[in-house]
Amino acid sequence: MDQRKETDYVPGSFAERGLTVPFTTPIVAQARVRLDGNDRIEFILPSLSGGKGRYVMPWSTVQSLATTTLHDRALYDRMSPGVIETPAALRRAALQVASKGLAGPKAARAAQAALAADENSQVSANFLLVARLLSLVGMSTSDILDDERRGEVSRTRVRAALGRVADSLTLPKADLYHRVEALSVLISPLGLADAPQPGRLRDLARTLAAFTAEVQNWATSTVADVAQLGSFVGQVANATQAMVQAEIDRFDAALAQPAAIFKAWEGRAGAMKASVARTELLLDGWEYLLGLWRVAAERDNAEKQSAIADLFRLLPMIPKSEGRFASAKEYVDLGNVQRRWVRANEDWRSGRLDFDQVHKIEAIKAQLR
Amino acid sequence: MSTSDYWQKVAEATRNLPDHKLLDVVALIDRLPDEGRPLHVLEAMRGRLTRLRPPRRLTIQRLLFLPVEDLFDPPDAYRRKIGRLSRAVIRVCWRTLVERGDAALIESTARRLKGLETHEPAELMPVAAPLWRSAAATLADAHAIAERDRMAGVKMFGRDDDLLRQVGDIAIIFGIGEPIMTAKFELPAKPIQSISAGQAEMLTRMIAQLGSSQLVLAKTFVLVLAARMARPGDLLEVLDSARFPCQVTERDTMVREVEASIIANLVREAQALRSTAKAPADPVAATETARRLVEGLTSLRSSMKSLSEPATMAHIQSARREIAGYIMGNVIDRAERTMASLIGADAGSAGSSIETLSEPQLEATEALALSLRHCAGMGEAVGIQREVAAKLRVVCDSLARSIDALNLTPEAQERRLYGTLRLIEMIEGPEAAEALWLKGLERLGFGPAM
Repeated sequence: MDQRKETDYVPGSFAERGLTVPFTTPIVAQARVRLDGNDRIEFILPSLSGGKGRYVMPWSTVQSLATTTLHDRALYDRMSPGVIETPAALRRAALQVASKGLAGPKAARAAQAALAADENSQVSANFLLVARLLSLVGMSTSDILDDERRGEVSRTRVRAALGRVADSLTLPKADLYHRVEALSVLISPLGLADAPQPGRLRDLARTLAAFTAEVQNWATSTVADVAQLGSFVGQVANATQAMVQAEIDRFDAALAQPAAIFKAWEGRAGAMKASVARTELLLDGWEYLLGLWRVAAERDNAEKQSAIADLFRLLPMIPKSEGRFASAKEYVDLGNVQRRWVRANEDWRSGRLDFDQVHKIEAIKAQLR
Repeated sequence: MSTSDYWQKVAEATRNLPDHKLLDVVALIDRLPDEGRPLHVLEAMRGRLTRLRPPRRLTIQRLLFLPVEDLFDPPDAYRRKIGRLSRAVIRVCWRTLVERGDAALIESTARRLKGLETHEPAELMPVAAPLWRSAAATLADAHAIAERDRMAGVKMFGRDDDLLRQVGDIAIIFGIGEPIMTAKFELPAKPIQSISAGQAEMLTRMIAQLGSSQLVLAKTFVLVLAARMARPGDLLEVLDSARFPCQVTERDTMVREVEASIIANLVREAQALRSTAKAPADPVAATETARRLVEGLTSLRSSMKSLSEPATMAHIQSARREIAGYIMGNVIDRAERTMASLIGADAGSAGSSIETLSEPQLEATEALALSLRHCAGMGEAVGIQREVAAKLRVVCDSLARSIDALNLTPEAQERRLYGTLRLIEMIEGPEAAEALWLKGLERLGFGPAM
């Protein structure tokens, strides 16, 4: 078994950090996945005792370490180098598995809703992009809606107007249509700033900002040493949120001038794609943690303390390539605190499948968008 | 109809209400002013309220008895000489406090309590602590008078020595109300499944500090908290690690008394299952009851001094037998029938097939399957692993066969496949479910990656 403990606590890059896998087996919940040097899938598990280090292993070792749920076996079955290349592809695979009911009926409903919402967000992004382009030739969305109300065929007017936009950009009409479609798909996870329903990642960034304030507040009002973990979690959340916000600001500024993107398509579309990808990577792993805190926040202080210890264990550390936020020593010191707040007698640490814990994870999964 | 007749009818009507309606009634009653609240109606619901644990309005009486509440048993379930308290003693204590205590403090505390915006520890403790201290002094004084002067004692508490013992215990608990509530606020909610090393350290410090003053304070503190633990044996380990400035024999005696009390209470609860079995509980709730007792008994370490006594071991064995009977009658047999009706729907018997169940029905069925899994886990501890395993085998075989139904649409077949796999996974484990999953995918033509 290749069970080496990494000497460093902070990954060098997003590729080294891997992508979070929404497994439901407690011992591997929020494990990370990446390709090894030979393009084989390997998993990174946080230390089981809650202490320092990470375990790196292939799926066969994961299986010998713990009894995994059928959901996780089915999810692994869908994993390929392509699926684990981006958080979006992995998320889609996980939603498809959960939609079958393998993480319980509530998570199935949530997964089906999330898959439908993804489709809708592409339609919504497309509509808003077209509206922005039409405004360049003096046509507003209210004009289109008025046409609809009068029973006139608006599609013809819209096509004509888009044709004028294409002419002004000196682009073939077909190219413009194709680029609008492609950009709609590309930006839909973040969506446009003025969309009535914020994009999934934009919404997640807002929730992360609210969480940051809440957990920092909790840390300052808690006397126990677990508050140090809360403070650290708050710092990492804050730094992540600041980076995400900066990325979203750049994204929104670029999208404010869609004509420029369609004109210089090759370079600008790539930049927009990179912007969405970086936002996705920065936020990868946070959605579950925010759900974990949301559940604990409604309970007593002991639950919050325990949740903070879990958050610390599963914290998506910002890779060194993006900036430096904590020293290894600080991380080790905090790891010592964290170990004191890990509860004993929890079956999942023994590798047995503890379905009470599985249900807790499934309940969080059922809340996710 | 008089008011009391009216409330009597309400109390009777609540017996057949579903849980969510019962909670609505409790919320309405809690909105009534203190003097008009029909306490006997709440008393009639007590058993279900203990299970449902709805948020309740914090009255002055509830605030006063917060440090004691975990030791209370309903009067009909109360047993003497095991360190527990009867709920009937609340009235006696309250009357004593009203007659002999600091009336101005009670009144001002009630006023301050109404003004609290939250019941967070930082807000609650400054209001409650003076009340507990004053109540401790009043009850201790009344208890001392009753012990000195038999006539005065009979006048205050009647002729029952056990009632006097309970009043004395409550006086001690009120005296350590602050540390008890501090610990309760810091520990997980009841039933506490496990504690972290940090929490164990905190408890060791508190126990040692109380014991350095008087051993009885440490003993009482542990007994109160043990009543909140799913695994009281874990707390006994904490007690074992605390050091006290006294003779070893004194310490050993105290530890043995605590152990005896905890064991006796678990045995009492197990024996009470026989009377509960006459009015069978919902199998999921019954499983939780059985799990709590089995966890409690298995948490008792062989190192415990009391476990070397044959009489104690005999009591524990008898408790295990009671739990075993309760599991077989209230969970396994009933769950087996429910599953059979689910599976038998194809054959025209009453019930619904799994693919037609609504989300709440599916959740209820999964909860039942999980109960069966828990029963399999408890089987060994209470000596019925073979019987349970055989029953579960029958259930899983029938479930597996139901996947092969041929008269369904592809969508319905898929829903049945995954719904059934979840149940099998819970009952028998993921390996069994995975094998059926692969076979099902192949047969139904869904492809290996769904």
